[in-house]
Amino acid sequence: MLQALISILQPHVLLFLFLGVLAGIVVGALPGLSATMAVAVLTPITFWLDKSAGFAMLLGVYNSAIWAGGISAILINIPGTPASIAQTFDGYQLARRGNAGLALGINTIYSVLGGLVSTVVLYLLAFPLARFALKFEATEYCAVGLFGLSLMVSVSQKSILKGLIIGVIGMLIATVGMDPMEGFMRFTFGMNSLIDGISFISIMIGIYGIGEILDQIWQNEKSKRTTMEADKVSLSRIFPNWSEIKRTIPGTLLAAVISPFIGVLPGTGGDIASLICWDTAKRVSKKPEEFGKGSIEGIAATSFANNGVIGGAITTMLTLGIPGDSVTAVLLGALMMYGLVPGPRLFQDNISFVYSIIILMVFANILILIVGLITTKLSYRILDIPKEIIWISVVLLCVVGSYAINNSIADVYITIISGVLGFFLRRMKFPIGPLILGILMGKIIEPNLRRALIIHNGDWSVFLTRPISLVLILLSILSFTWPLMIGIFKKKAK
Amino acid sequence: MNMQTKNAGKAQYADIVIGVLLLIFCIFIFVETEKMPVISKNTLGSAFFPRLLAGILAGLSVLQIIIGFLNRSGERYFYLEKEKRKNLFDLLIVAAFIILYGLMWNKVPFLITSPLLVAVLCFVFRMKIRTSVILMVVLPIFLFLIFKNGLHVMLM
Repeated sequence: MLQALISILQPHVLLFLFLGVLAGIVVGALPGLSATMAVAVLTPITFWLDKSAGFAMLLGVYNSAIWAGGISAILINIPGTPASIAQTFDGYQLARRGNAGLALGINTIYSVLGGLVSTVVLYLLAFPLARFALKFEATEYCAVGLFGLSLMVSVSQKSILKGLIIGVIGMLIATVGMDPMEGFMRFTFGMNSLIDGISFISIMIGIYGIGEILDQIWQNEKSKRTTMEADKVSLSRIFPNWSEIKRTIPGTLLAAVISPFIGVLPGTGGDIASLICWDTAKRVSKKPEEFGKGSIEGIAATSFANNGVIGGAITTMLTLGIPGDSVTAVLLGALMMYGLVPGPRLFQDNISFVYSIIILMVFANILILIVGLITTKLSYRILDIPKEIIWISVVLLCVVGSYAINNSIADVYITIISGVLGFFLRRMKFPIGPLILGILMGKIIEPNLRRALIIHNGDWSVFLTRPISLVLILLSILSFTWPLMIGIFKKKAK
Repeated sequence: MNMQTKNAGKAQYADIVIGVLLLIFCIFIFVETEKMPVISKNTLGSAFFPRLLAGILAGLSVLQIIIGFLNRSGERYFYLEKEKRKNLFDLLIVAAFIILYGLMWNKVPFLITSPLLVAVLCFVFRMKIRTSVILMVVLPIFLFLIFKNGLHVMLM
């Protein structure tokens, strides 16, 4: 722990953490730009830094973007990131009543509290979970991979079928290159650049960077006002008074229990957590009628919840190698890029790095608190940055960044192709998350599935005779069929 | 012709086309896996997993085609309202120039292609001349300095 703390206290690590927080504010506050996109685009830059500095920057962006998503939700009623959807319910109303400063202050303070509590959960949960996961064999790893994919598919907003299709395509992409077990080339078509497989980072940068920008150009509304100035909203005071703090305690305590555990579940995220916590806070409130009309309890619970999932999401990523949400899917790719293998072995071979992540989470949140409170009165200025400048910068950064990973032109082509593909996938309502997870999980599922079947002489029933594997398979089936069952029940009820 | 235009981008047809394309893709995977060698019958072989996935994908594609036929929602994936029609033109130009930029990568110096790409994008987005010029100069030089000098990336 001390070694990790010393490695983080180096000036360059703190500088990159600070830069990450600043980048996260811009990305989070501007509607349409997601934390996933920012982490994906910045990942190649961090490849050239040492692991602590690189991950400091990415964690800074992640935490900060989720918090800053609340700025546009409060000031212009447009969530900066999906995680801040629920903050529009009360944040914007509070701002319209002349308390924008208070809403922004609550957003900063409670987001940081949420982030810190989730870091404690990460610290308490990760080590026992990693010890438990050490018992896993090939069968369990395969089942874990399937479970992770099933959860992400099941939350595919509109079409589970499309989520499944894109997840399977992701796993097929993972098979390109040298077979990990027998060393034969698969789907390389004589191209040397494909021997190591299709670069996951390049796909990610293309889909989340260029693909997102192309989709925004398609939907662009020139006339849409995005600045706050015309509303002439007073920023007022920033800090809540004691009676306001007291009112927020029950809802916040519940959010502290709910949000980290929602984060642990793969495929969920801040959006789901903040919606559930908003509803829960309303149920325990003495003034539920104020919810949706500028309730301080509502904005506190949702602010707490969206950053409260981060520690949970990182827990599953580090211990099982399964991302909790799309940002952690990208972070998982970044870890692999650094040559680290997420999973229980990480806690044995690189325990110092695990501690570094936990300490960086604490530092990131402290920085957000300082920067957030200092810049509250300036935050609406971020919304004045023309989105076109961001688009152009992101496009250029995507191409240069993808090339920088391996100095390979093939990666540039993969990024651009993925970008165009990402646009079509978005338009045709294919969820992106399962594709990324499919690529990542494919690399876990394939070797473990083959290993398990070879060890047990091709007997598929082994997945049902081992208890952990059986539970995970049943949970996977449940998560695949749950949305269908809900749909059938709803129809019958009607 | 008129009918074709009317139906263009309809979710129903798009889903069916995607389903058919995916089925063809599955056949391609099966054909390709036939070429993969098998060491012995006891090992599952390199072709096992891709074939398993292609089989699953084929089943899902058939479902996608069926759902496409049953879809009567009239939803359109590529529909643009009248006031947004110019976005299609913007998108095509931007996509074309990004592809061109990629094709010229490391064939033409970065400090020539990048300002050109920025200039085209600024023009497409109808940005002010002063902002465009600043962006054209500052952004490529900034990235060049960071990646070439700072991170030692082999940029031309």
